[in-house]
Amino acid sequence: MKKFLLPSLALMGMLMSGCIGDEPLNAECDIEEVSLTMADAESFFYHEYDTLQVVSSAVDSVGFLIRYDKNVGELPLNLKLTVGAKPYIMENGEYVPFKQGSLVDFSNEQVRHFRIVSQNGKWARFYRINIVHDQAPAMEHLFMNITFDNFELNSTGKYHVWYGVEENSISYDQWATGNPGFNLSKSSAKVDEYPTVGIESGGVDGGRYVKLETRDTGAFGRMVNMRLAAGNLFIGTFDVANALKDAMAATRFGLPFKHKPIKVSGWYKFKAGERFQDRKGNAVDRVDQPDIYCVMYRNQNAEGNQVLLYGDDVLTSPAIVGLARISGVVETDEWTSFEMSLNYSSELDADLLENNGYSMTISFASSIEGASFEGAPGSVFCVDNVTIECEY
Amino acid sequence: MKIEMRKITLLLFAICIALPALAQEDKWEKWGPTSPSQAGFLVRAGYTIGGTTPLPLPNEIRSINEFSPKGGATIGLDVYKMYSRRWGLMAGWHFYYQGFHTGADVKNYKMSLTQEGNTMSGYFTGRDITNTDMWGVLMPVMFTLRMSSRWNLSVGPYLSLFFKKHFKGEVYDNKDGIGYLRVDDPTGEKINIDRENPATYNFSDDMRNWNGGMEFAFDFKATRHLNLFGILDWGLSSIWSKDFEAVDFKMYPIYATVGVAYRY
Repeated sequence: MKKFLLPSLALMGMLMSGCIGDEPLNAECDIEEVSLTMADAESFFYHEYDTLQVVSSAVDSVGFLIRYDKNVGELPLNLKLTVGAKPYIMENGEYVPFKQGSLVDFSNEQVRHFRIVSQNGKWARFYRINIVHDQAPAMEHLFMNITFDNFELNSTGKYHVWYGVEENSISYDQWATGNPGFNLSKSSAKVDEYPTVGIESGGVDGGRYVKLETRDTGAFGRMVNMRLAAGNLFIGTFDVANALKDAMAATRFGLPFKHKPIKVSGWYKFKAGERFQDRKGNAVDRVDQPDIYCVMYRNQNAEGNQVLLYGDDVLTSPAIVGLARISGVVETDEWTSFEMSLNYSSELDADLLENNGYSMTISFASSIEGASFEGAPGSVFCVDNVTIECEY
Repeated sequence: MKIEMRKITLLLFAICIALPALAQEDKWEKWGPTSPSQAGFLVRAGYTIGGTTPLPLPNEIRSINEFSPKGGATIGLDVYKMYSRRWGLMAGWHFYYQGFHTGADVKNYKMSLTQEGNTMSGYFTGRDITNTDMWGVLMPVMFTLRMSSRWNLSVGPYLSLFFKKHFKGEVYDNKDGIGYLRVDDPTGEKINIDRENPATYNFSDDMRNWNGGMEFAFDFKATRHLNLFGILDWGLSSIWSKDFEAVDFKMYPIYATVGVAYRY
């Protein structure tokens, strides 16, 4: 018996451990963090933490915001890279090796180009980094109009993204949707089959508007227990890296805002999907509702750390100072107006406001429980011409 | 007397030479087959362990942290015929259930999943768990060498047909909390995957219905009718269908069976 067993066991042993080859060199070539070194950073930026940016894998452009009345010249720059990756910087039209911590000229908002090559030399990514001026505060009563007209196809041509400076807006061009997450689960979806879609005509003014639709995420969605995706559009960023791991953490709400929003009004159409389902896909006797809310919050805590609101605390965080949420939405085929007012728990601090101490988000979704993957596939919520009225 | 003595010495000498040969002849007869051209059959029952593996292991597989055979079984019937004292042929049918579970840490492991026409592909780094099992019949045709009176070695090709097959698994983070897919290529979006919400896969339908390879069998005649045996089935054709691309390398089933056989 030993004669049989020993060779068999030896073989198993060999297969299991003896054959582990050399570790392959890293193939990734990301900038994971960008940091600037600066004495007295707070007088140039708004917060100490503004000198460091964590870079999402989907991002290839990093912008730092400095005060409108300040200028920077050469600053020491540090890039945290994938282990083993080599950085290059473009100088006079050519990529030359970049030495960590060396001075980089960021004057006049110029865009600096970087090329990162993976440890194994087979892959490269290109990044842009610049420092731009914030807009000057303007303490006046104003109406900010969101027309939803500024959409285009994303870089891979799969789905719509919203961009652009709206009338009277202040560094306000960061709209996000869950479309990148949906793209993971339904790679075969056409542009108009995504949860958040820009429509060319038929808006309340006859033109463009946004259509949010709760969609089934298919087999991959079931695989990770995320059976539906509500259409959504919000001010902030969507971190697709966490879309599967921790979907609530993937939606990051808000951007610094120098005004005090008091009222939100606009137009909608809504039709609830037929079958409301819970996270496990079971039918629930409930009629789906859409959601709109506008939140103003303090973006720094007592320890000086950045505060961001996520999917699970955007309506409940103690950092919230002002909140409005839509109610009484009816199912309708006609453009119907809505209006909601922000309730403030405390008066805003004018000094903080001027120094980007508050962030604002406004969010639209086709299913009110969409963040927890509950809702009715087929719920359609169309929104157009939203106005945020600011007291100052 | 002298002559007598010489005769006796010669006789003794002859016996000394002849005896082992006679004894061996006895043994070969005792353990059978009794005639050089005898035929017969073996009914086998055994315990099967092994796994399905790429060979050699690709560098993308960094360590194998868990391995447990699922305790397979084989029941078989082999027919043999000896053509000389030492050489013969053996063929048969081995019905088996075999399977294993493994957990491996991988780095930049190219994979692609397709479900209902949607494809998610890219490079995964983290923990990959695989569970596989197969029911089928393996049919070897082997040359048998009778190495000694009680030991037989048989070697030959086999064809194996699967009645039922599973190749399923999931991917999530390793013990350092690292588990992510880079979509499409290593510069694509990084999607974190953890064990709270693993991504599962099922390649059962992407397996071929057959496998071919070599069988190596040792038989030891323990009693007149009972053999102890050890069999190694080494797959030489990949388990994957030709057009299957989700796993970037070929994988081969390699299973061993030990057991007892009744010999007629």
